[in-house]
Amino acid sequence: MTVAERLRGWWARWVAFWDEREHPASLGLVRMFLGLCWAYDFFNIWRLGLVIPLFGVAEVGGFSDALMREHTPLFYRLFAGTVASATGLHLVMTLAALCIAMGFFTRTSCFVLLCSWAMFVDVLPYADRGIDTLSRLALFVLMFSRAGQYLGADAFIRTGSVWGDGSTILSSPRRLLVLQLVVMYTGAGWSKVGMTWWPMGHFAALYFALQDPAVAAWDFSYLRHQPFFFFTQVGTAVTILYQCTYPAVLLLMWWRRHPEKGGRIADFTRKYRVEMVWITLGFVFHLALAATMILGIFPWAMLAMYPAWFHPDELRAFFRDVGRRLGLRSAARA
Amino acid sequence: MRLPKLPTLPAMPQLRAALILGLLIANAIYALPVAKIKDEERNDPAFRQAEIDVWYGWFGPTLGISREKLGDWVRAYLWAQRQTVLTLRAPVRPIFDAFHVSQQWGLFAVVTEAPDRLIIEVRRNGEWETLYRRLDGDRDWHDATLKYRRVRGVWDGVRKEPKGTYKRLTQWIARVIFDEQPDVDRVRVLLEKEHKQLPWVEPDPQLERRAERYHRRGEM
Repeated sequence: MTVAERLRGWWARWVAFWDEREHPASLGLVRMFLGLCWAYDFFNIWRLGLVIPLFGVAEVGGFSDALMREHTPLFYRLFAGTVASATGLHLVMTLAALCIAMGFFTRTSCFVLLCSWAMFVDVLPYADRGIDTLSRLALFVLMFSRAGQYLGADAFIRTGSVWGDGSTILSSPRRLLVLQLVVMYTGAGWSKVGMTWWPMGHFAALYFALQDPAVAAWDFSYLRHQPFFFFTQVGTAVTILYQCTYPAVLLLMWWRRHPEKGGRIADFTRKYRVEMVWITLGFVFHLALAATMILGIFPWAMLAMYPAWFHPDELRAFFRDVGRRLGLRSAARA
Repeated sequence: MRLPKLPTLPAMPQLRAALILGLLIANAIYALPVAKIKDEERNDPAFRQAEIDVWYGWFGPTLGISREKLGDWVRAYLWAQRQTVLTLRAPVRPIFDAFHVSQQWGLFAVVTEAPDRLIIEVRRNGEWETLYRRLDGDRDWHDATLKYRRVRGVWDGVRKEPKGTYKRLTQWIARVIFDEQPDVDRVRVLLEKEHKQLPWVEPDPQLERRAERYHRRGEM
């Protein structure tokens, strides 16, 4: 086989892979859960009385120096630096997030939220955290998907049922989200250069993180005592191990897709679904973060993306099983 | 109500696959680390001297070069790496910058061993008292607001010379206190740095008060 034929074969397989289709259940759930997290976060800003401080310029009581900079942010070039502008930007973001949660004009809502969120970062960069970056990346993917075709108003408008009519959508957005999660966990692991993440730093990173009043949810001074310190060391070691080895999940998923490949090791991983070790550890990790640290929507938005790990057929079989056990007709229909 | 499906172009799968390939390449480039070295540090022998000394201890004898030469190589490599990644990023940089996205995930990459605690003190009837001290159950004025992640982003990690955003945060805190508590005439917002120790090291009782901002009623 010539190089050109081999390249053509690879390209054909690449095109076919990204052209595959599936039921919209997994992506629909990711969209709904993420939308709810974002809507909650923006609602929380209003509840805490932070709309003007965070979205407004210094001249109206905001933290932002937007109008004092050499290059005025786009939003305040388009709109005056008033309370109404700040309120308007927040309102647009909240409504767009709600629309995404409801699957209402999903793609347009994703575009609106992405643009307005980027404008908000321009206004107050310090208010932007890692989960906000991840959210905008997820919006990019959802913007090109038909995530509203399951459990959404878009599905209802098109088919007369919020569950949709079972029409398939492209698998590519879900796969891109899976890839994004793998890159994020791996990047988080590989960038942990602080000594306390490693044996020479006594695996003390989690211990020190929980001693930081800025992020600790409770007073964790008791962690100085054993066996609690040891537990934090175990937590640190497990965190660094599972994050640094996260690319293995892609290999395991690849082996699951190609049952003829990988030999005995791959047979073992397929039989016992070894990739679930990483996914379950991540799930537990985020629940533990939610219970011990104040990171806002971070753990919840991460968990909101977890339905992407599962093929919709698996999820639907799971829902049907649960629905049958609970005697719920709607769940059984999913 | 059923809406008609839009027709699909025959070349759509090819186009989509090409776009996704481009997207993945762009994001992979943005996942590459960028060496932190400034132009003026390229010829500075003191740049990362401690780390270079460690590396020299490991590999110097094998390489058979001087410490200074290894330093030159490291700086040249870091500069080349930085320039290469920035050049690769250039074509897609406007999009990544416009939407403020990246693939750099330094989440708790280095955990601080000297964290700051936000403190708010007020003067009431001539006496100073602590109104807020993070994680102090008895001094938890507006705790939900002050610990909210976007507000924390403004004060956590503030350097020795606080920037304007931090100053405006303290002004806002003072304004809210003056509005709510008419008997308060002074507000002091500061960060208290504590050096945390490993369990087998004696705790360091010293607290460093920094980034202190002072506001008077009537000035606001």
